[in-house]
Amino acid sequence: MSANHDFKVVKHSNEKVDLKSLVLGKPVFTDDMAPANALVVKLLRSPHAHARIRSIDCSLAREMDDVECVLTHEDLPRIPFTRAGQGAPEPSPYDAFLLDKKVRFVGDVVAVVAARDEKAANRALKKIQVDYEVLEPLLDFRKAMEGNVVLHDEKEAENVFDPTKNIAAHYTMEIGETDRLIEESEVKVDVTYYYPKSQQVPLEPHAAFAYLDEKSRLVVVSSTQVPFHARRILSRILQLPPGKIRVIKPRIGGGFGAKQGVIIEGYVAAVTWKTGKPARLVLSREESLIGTYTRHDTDVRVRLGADKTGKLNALDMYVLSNTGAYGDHALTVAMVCGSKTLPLYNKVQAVRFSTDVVYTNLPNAGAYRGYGAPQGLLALDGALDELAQKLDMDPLYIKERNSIREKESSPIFQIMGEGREGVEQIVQSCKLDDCIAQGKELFGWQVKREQFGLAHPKDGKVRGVGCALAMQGSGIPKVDMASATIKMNDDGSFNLLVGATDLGTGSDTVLSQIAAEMLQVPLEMVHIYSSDTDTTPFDVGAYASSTTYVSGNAVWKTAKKVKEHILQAAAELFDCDVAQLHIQDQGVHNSSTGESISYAQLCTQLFYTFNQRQIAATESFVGDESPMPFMASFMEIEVDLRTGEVHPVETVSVVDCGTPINPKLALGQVEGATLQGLGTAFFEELTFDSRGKPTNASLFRYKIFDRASYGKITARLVESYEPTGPFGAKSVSEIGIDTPTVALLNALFHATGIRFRSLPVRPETILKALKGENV
Amino acid sequence: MDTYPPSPWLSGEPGGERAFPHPCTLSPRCLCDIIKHTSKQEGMGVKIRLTINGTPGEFDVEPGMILLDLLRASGFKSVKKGCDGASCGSCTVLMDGRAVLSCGILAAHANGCAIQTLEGLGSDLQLDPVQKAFLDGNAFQCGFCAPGLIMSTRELLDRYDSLSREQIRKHLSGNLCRCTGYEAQISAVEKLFEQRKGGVQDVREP
Repeated sequence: MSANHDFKVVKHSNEKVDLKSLVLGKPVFTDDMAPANALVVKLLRSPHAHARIRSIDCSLAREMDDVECVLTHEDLPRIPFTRAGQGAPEPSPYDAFLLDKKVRFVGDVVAVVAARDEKAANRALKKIQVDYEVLEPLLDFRKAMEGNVVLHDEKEAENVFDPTKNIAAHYTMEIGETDRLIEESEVKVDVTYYYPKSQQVPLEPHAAFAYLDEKSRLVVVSSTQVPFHARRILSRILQLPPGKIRVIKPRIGGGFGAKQGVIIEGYVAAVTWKTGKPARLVLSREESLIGTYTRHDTDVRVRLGADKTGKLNALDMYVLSNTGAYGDHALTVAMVCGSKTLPLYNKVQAVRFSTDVVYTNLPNAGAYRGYGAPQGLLALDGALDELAQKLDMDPLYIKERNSIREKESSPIFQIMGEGREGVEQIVQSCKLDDCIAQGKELFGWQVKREQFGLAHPKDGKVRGVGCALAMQGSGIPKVDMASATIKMNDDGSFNLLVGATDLGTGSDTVLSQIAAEMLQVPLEMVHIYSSDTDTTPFDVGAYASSTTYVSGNAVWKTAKKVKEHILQAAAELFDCDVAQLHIQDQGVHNSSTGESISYAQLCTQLFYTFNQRQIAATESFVGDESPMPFMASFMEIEVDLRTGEVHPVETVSVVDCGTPINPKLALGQVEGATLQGLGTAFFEELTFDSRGKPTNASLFRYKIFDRASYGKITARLVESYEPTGPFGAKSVSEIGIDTPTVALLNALFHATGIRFRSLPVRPETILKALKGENV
Repeated sequence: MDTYPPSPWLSGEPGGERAFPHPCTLSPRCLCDIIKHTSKQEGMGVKIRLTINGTPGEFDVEPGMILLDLLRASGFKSVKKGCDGASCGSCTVLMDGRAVLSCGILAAHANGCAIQTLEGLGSDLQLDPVQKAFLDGNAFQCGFCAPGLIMSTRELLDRYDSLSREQIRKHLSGNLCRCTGYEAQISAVEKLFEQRKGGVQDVREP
């Protein structure tokens, strides 16, 4: 196969296979399918950021006619676990219990109520009396390591780096003599950037329901990104064998990492297991904002040394990450801050990365699109921009000349993986230079850099431009495993069964396209069914930008195997050598004899009359490496010098994601991620009062961009061919969120001459800075 | 620049704040008085009449029940709850032809009204042009916002002959989407208005 392969299905913007059901409003989401008689589950949440539960009196609630069940920590086995939906053994500490006798943030779950209707459940919540011993909360993550307040003093917790200092995870690595090289450099930069606690805000709040099937097995239907991990984790906390549990993921209304954890499934499962009755739980928006996952807010300090021409000598990154009350994804997100950013600037002679991830009495941080890369890049790209500022050079030139290219490598690939060692990699596909060249041209970088800035105000407003480069990965190498099953039908169509989890991204479509391409059938001849632990083969789930590459490769291998079976069967039928045969247009053809048979005829014969058998195959894939997509982003903003208001004018991102299996869906990923990144850049941040109580936990106060106000987003793809990817593909889902935050700060510097290093940048901060006040 | 008539939902200016009138002005047949009398008494239901997607019916509602919950409980699952706070637009339905947030309206207030949900717009066999446009544009990812956006767009097409891209953006700004970055959706709606200009008939299902 080559880059010039003439694709029939791949590289076509086919209609999303699930789209028709979505535009018809069919009941395809989790809570649309909950049984009408399901008990309504509600959670009693802590009003305190840090407290010990002395006692809970549920007797009044339990006496209510309409209440079926009330659970507290006294009713469940005390089993430490992590909610993080990761492969086993998870790199996240086991520091959580389904219900605990201590609460660690405002909103931590104290008790579970299941009632016959919502009103009764709400009434029951009010009747539960909890006696709290209120403890001093730890709210400032910069003071967490002082250890004055300790969050995790429970003896059962496992794998917490240093509970006495509230350190959930710690990591450090160094290649070369970083300090000496920076010290000896002609130009030095030493800066710290802050990335805020933003939230994923999938439009569908977390939802799950459970019931016992006719064989009394526990079925959990959930809007999860990780059905197989959910089954394993439920098996641990409910002490049931995995085979007794079936997890089904229907359509999901967005996840972005917020659903890469087993956050609510345990509660419905426990209620059903205790009562034998179906139970459903849908979080409110407030619960979804504070009671699931958030971004790890992070201080990232970058020190660098360079020569006067702008050539980097050494890089040093230190990450202080706030994991909130529990250590979900703590180590891995922090490591990605470095591992998915530092290799981008691989021409250094020395590099150091270290991190401390600390607990605070704030909502649980977890996976969020980008998974650390946005935080790391904010400081790394910002520092390079500041280097350009010191040298009075074009920041794009500085970034471009130091960045990685095809056939190059970085020692970081091998040293840093996710929560463990990485793998050695040579970059086999990289069109970053083309991304830069195209983006620069499309955006008009040169002209805008000269014409904008503080020296050119117009009607009290100035414009500014910023740029940023980014890389991501495609799955976690040597860890993430995906598999697929394909079986042939007697109309020549195929059932494709995958454990992969389409969370709205379109992966069901992309995987179907890969199978259709390999089997040379139109897309509608592939019937995909995904994410059901009973009927689809294992897949780690949707995270780490893995589905197109890892699950896609599994589908590619499986389809190839099925193709071989088809050719073999046809060779038996024609009594000829397999080498004489080829597949084309839903049939097998013998080029020397001119004989041919359609898939439908062949399969029908195999079912009923000739060498009878089912053609089917299952194959698995684990990546030996994690090929990187690359991106160059450019942003133009307008700042009102009188009010400090800043508006995005245009964001241009050019991405190399290898072969785009479905170009339109790939562009949609870039556009959506860009807008999500813009949100954090401009206003998204969860805020709390002095006792740790959330102050903006609704979509009325926590704003996300609507369609009227983000200016213009332009996304383009530059094609490369990744030899290890399915039909040359790499990932595309996360990378778009990495750049908008730092691009805004860089553009703000260009517009105002002021360097902001903390997000989100609010108009009042800008105005104060413009007036010369210290911010 | 604006030649279209002001909508009762907008303060004249395109993109102006959505003025949310008291539901009584929407429905002269609303049961405000009954609600006032019964709201303190638990278990006191009210009987209301609604025509949902062309089918009239009688519904027992509790005083505090919102239209969104009634519709979902009655099987119209396309109506989505995304925010609990009239902020996301996922629960948009047509009430006597006007796009409303069904989470912001008490079921009792809708007494006597005709409600249209996405289930009543098109079918597997015949899609509404709005549905077709979003389908052709591959304009949704997760699709959780689809029902609300499609209903809002339907109203927009019924109300206005032509709108610019900027006007479309402002009019539909109440329908949030977190996946797509909006571009494909705006283009799909723009195309609908363009088709109309080009004389392509916007055939709507009866």
